[in-house]
Amino acid sequence: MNDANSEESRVIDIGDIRLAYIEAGSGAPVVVIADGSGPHLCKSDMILAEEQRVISFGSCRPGSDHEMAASHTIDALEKLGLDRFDLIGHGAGAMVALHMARTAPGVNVVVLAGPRLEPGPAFEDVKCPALTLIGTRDENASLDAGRSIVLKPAHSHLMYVYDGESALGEERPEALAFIVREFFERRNEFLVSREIGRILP
Amino acid sequence: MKASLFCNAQYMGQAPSDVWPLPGKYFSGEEGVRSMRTAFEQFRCADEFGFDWVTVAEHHYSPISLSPNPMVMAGALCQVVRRAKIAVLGPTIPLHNPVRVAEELAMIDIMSGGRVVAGMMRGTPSEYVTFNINPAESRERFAEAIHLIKRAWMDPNPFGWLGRYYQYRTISIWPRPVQTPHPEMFMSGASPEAGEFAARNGIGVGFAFSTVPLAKKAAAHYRACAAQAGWEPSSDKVLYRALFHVADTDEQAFADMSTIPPRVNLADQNSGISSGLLKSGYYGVDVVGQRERSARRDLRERIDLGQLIVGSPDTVLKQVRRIKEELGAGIIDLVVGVQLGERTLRSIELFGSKVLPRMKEL
Repeated sequence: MNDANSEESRVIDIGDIRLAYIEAGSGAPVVVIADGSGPHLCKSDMILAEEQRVISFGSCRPGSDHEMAASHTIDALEKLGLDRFDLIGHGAGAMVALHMARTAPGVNVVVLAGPRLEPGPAFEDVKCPALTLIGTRDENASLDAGRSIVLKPAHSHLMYVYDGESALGEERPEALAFIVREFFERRNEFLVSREIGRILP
Repeated sequence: MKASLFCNAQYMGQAPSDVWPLPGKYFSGEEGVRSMRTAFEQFRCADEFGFDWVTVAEHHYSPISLSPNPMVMAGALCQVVRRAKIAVLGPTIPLHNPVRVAEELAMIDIMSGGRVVAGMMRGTPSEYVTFNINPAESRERFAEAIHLIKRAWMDPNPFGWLGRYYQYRTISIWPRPVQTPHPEMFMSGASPEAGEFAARNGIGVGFAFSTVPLAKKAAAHYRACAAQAGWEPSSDKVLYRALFHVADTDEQAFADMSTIPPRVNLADQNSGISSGLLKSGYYGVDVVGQRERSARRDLRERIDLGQLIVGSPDTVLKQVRRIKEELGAGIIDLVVGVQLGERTLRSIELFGSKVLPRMKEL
């Protein structure tokens, strides 16, 4: 069991490739593909770790493309015995997360937070519910690419994060963790609020 | 230069104007109907005599206005005012659901054939009591709501919103505005914070019940902030609102306006609300300047400061010219200050026929 407040760095070998990853928390697994080449848990990930087991991998190593990184990460997860999990891709990690969502049957839902996306038909293949979060101050937001995955309103959603740029998990961690938890738990039903409106008994 | 007529559907029955909230026992349905009919007659007259806009606004719990919902007024005006733009100046944004505001303004825009002007107001401070909204949050609520409303008008696809004050899982408004990318937007530019926000976001500013010197200073600040943001506001981005009355002669106009009641600051009519508002930080960095606008002044001083525009057509034109020259305003929003029956209609007619054509050349 991992402590929600501390990260534990580990490595795993996939053939001749050694992948670094970090873990925090316990509970239903969440796989985080970080924005950089190495694993990293941002503030919103750490909030998720209070209730879930969060495992982070880097997005792309030098000499690797998104598809290859996705394939290696899926192999690593299989080796770790994780056959079903929720998935988040932050920034550049969103492309890797998308490729994982296309190819790994164990992805329950995918969240793309402040994604750096490249347009392409591949996004149409995502079968699981997908939530794309884009900061309202993100001038580099790949909105068109973000929208390209919002082809099936029944299970793909676009949400703006007010006053956020691209590092949404650091800028508005509570907000991000809140909506991600809702989406993980309720999937497409998250559209329907269940917040209590009653003020006083 | 353009002109708008702002008739706030003032209650015409007997009721104190210096109490807030005013008890409902003073209200007569008959007088309410008469007041509303009078307002519509004046709007119709303004449209007929060439006013560029007509203005409606939101006020609560007071006889100064029978329009707690300017959207309802604007919807009705679409059927009465056939030519002029309908300026909703405006909904008090932090009090309302911004998606609803976006929907209603879009609806009025299609009902009017693309004639809506969208005022986004932070409102009269005491009115935060009306819907139990904390006035300390007003600027942040306002800023977030403006971003959300613009996106609701412009974004062609459904989207959710994860804000600080507003959260929606999916937004996709129907109808959408006729005007593209969206109706022209205005907000108050009276405070330094508001001027800066408007400039950063390309929004026009209005100065309501201010004085020309105060508005001049605020307009200069707005323009300086706009320059920093990389653009230069045209005169059409600056609106000045003042009470007005025109008669055939100066003597008649001044005599008519001698009955005008002193300016009442609604927030100061209730000591608990007044001190609560001050402590909330509602007025921002320029507390003195914000409260100076509503200081009590006599008729002559109000005219000298540009709070009242009064006189014959020639005199009124000079007063309007001064506003144009001193603060570069391109729109003057003229408020019916006191209801004088036929003389008020004559005032609107005189302005429209004798002043407005000459204003166009200013």
